[in-house]
Amino acid sequence: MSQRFLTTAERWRRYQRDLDAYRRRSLFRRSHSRFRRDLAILPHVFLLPGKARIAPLCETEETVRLALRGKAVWTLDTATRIVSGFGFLVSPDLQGYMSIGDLEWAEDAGLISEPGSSGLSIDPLYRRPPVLIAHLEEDIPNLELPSGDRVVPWDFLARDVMGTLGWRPDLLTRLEATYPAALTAFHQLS
Amino acid sequence: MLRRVRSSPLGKHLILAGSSGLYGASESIPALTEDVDVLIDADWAAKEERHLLKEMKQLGFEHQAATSTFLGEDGISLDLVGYSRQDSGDRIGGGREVPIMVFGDLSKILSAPGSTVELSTQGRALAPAALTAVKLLTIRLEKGSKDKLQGLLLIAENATNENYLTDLLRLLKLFDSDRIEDAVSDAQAACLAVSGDVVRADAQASGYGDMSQAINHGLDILKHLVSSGEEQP
Repeated sequence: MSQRFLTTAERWRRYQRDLDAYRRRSLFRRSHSRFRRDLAILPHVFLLPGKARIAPLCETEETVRLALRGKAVWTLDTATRIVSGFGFLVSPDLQGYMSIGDLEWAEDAGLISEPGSSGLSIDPLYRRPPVLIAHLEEDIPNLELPSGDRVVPWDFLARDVMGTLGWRPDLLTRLEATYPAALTAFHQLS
Repeated sequence: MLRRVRSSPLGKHLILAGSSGLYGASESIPALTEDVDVLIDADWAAKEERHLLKEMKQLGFEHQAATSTFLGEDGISLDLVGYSRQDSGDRIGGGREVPIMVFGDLSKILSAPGSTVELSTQGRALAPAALTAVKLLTIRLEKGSKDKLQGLLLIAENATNENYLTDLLRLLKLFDSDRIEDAVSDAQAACLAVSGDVVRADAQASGYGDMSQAINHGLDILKHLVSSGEEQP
């Protein structure tokens, strides 16, 4: 098969098409008033290879969460459910930061199956049993709620959302409307 | 082949760029493709088209009609990409036989001092900061994320090189803030796409994981750099 190179005129038309698409993308970004502000957010990759572990739950989500209370720092969907009463993911998983020792403790206590490292996703396109997704890191900023649950502060939650789901302006707007205010209310209660 | 071109009379008119420009800017980041992009002053190419065609033929390159592509005897293709010293708009320049796309972004970057470097093996290439700026600002739908990732890898590789970071910020500031915001946003989208790939990959992809971390590092530095640039006059 002979190799056919694009003529300069064909390349030019393709470039014009790309420019049009870029203009539309740029307009879409700017249709969200938070675009500029969110550019300053440094994404934090919660599912970082080598740091993240996934383990199917052997007990109910609530049992595992209560057992890890004070040990884990919850983030993403789990943190938002605890703080504002509703989450944003369908899959009933737990997402949190913890030490390798606490993860091993949860396994030894029969709360979770053996943790693995592949197939990680917080928004699977298929139905799967609920899992604990643990990021093995202890030095994470956190706030302790009156219940004893520890959760990431708002700015870190935004970094985790960005680093895990990409830029989701609608979701960030929704979370920003509830998460920081609920944390403040908890703080005033305590 | 590159050495042959660079040491020819055409050498002084050609600037190694595109992915192949990485040969001049990094020893560790792979170019990914073997096709070669070289920048050329499209106004010079228009004026010296006969000379250009003759020299390329002597070097063993066959011109592909109505394109800016030359095919080497070894099957490698060389693409001429245009810039201009006279204007900074996008257009088709070059001559009647060798039409060349001229990119305004390239024209702006190449008008800035220090945007090219002499290679030890003869010829010129885009300087690392200029190549990074070009990669970050490149607009193309197909393979576009590859350009952003190479840009971020270059930033990560030069993270402690103050001169490089200063040059990169100076070059980025040649463009409107909207362009920079879109460039950062595109880089972020490419970075997150790689992170997603890595977490779904198996243990054999450990090198990919390291690359992903370097890309994340590059994005962090880029964001800090752009923020610091906004604070400066």
